[in-house]
Amino acid sequence: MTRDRMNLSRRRVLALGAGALGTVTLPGTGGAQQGAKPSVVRIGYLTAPRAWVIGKHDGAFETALGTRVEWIPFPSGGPALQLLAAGKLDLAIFGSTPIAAGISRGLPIQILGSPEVVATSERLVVKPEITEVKQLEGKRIAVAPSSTMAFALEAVIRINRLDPAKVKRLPLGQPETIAAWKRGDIDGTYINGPFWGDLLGSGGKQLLVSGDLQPHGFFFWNSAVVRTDFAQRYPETVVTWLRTVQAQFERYRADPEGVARTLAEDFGAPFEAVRDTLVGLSYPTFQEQLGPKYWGRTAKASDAPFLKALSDTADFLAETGEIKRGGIPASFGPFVNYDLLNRAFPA
Amino acid sequence: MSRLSLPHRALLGAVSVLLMLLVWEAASRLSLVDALLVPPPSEIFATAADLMRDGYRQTPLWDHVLLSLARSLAGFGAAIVIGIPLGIAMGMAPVFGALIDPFVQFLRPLPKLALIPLVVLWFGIGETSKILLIYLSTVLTIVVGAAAAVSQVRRQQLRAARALGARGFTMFRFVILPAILPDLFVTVRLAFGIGWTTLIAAEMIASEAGLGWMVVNAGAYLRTDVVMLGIVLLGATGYALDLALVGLQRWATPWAGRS
Repeated sequence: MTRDRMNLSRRRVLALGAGALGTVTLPGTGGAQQGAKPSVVRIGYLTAPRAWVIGKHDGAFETALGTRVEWIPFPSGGPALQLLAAGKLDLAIFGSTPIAAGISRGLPIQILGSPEVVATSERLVVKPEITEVKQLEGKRIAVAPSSTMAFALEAVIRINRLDPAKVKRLPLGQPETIAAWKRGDIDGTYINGPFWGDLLGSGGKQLLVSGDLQPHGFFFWNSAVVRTDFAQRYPETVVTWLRTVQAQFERYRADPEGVARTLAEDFGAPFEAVRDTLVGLSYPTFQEQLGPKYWGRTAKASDAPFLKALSDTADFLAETGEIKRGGIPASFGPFVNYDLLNRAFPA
Repeated sequence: MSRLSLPHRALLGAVSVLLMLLVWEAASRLSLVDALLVPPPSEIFATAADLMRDGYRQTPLWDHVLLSLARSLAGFGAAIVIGIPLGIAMGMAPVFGALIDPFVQFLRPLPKLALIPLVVLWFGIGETSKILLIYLSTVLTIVVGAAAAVSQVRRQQLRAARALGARGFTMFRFVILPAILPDLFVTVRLAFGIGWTTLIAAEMIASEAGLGWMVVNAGAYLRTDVVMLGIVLLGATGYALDLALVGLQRWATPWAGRS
C-alpha cells in the first residue's frame, strides 16, 4: 500500500467520523426559530391517574398544538430523568424530588410552575399494630426510589427524629410493593394512589399523608418541565401546551366524577380509588402559582416558598448521598422559565 | 497461529486501555460528548475516591462489591453443586435425560427478568429471591453443558475401557470424568458470565446494597458517574473471577487439548 492511499483512507475515515458526530449533535445546535412548529411533541406522563391526562383521550393536545403528539408513560421520576437526558421527551409533569436531583446533575430542563400539589394522594400506610411514627424504627418500609414519596419518608424520619439507620427503607416499585405487602414481607410503605386502595382494603392503616408535612416546611408537588433546547426552539408551542394543561385542570374542576371515570377505565383501577387519588392533589391555577405563595413572577423572588423548597429538597438529597453537593445551584430561580410562564398567563 | 508471550500481551492490552481512556477524556474536555451522558474518566476516578472515603448511600464501597460477590457465588455455587451431577446423570442415563430434557429446554431460554414477579410472590423480597434468580439463570446452562460433555465422550474409549474391565464408578472416575472435565470448565465459565449479568436483575428486588443495586439506584438520580464506576467494578470483578476459573482449569486439567 502506498503512503498516498493510506492518507486518503485515513482522511476518509476521519471525515466519516466527523460526519457521524455532526449528525449526533445536530439537534442540540439548531438555532432558535420564532414561531416554528415541531413536527411532533413528546409529552411524558406518570403512569398514575392524573387529571390533566384527560386531554390524552380526546386529542385536546393535538387540536391545541396543531401537531402530532406522542404520549410517553414513565412509572416514576427516575425514568423520567433518564428519558429527558436521552432527549426522548419534550414536556412532562412529574415530582419535585427527581426534578431537584436532575437539575443538580446538570440536566438541561426548565421548570414551568407546579400545577399539582400533593396533599392526600401520597400516604404512609402501615400494618395496624403500628400506631405512631416512633414505631417505624426497626420496621421495613417500601418506597419507590427517586420519588417524592422517598423524600417524604426521609422528611418523616427527620421531623420525628427517628434514627435513620433503624428504619429499613426498601426501594420497590408499586406493583412489587403490593405483592410484598400481601406476603407480609414489609411493615408499611409510602405510596401514591390508587395503589394505597389495595393496601387499605387488606388491613393497612394510614399513618399520615404528605399534606401533614407541609406545616414543617416540606412541600411535595409535580412540576411541568420542558427540555431547555425545546423551549428555546419552540416557545410558542410551550405556551400553548401550558394553557392546554390549565384547560384540562379546569375540565376536571367542572366534572371531577366524569374525568375520574374516564381515567379509571384507561388506567384499569377502581373508580373510587382514582377519584380519591385525584382529590388528593390540590390544583392551584397557573395564575395562583405565579403568586407569592408559590413561585412569584420573577427569578429574583428567591424567597418564593417553592424555590426555597427545591433548594431544601436538593440539600436533603445531598445529605442522603444521592447527589453531589457541589452540583446544587445557589438558587433554582434561573431554572424556572418565568418568561414563558408570564407569556402564557399574564398578570 | 503465531503466539504472543504473556508479558507482551499484557503490555499491548494496557496500551490499548490507556489509549481508550485518553481519547474518552479528550472527547469530554473538548465537549464532543455531553458529560452528563458520558462522564470523563477523571470524574469517575474522583467519584471512586469519594465513595471509597464515604461509601455510597451509607454503605462502604467494598461492602457493595462483597455483597454482590456473595450473592452471585451462592447462587452460582448451588448451580454447580446441583447442575453438574444432574447433567452428568442425564448424559449417562439416556432415559432419565429424555424425561428431564423438555423442562430444561423450556426454562433455559426464558428471560430471567420475566420471572421476577413470580419469584417475589413465591419467595418474597429477601436474599432467597436474589440468590434463587442467579441460581435459575445459571443452573440450566450447566445441566445442558454437562450432559453434552458426557455424550461427547468417544465410544471407542468407553469400549476399550469396558474391555479392560472398567465398570461403574471406576469407569466414571478414570474414563468419563477426565474426558469431560475440560468441557465442564468451559460450561462453568460461560455459566458464570450469565450469572454475573443476572446480578442487576436480582438486585432490582428490594435491595439496599450491592453493585447491581448501586447502578440502578444511581441511574434513577442521573448519577452517571456512579453508574459508570459500578459498571467498571462489575466488569473488573467478573474479569478477575474468570481469570481465577481459568487458573483453576489449567491446574486441574493439565491434559486438556493434548489427546
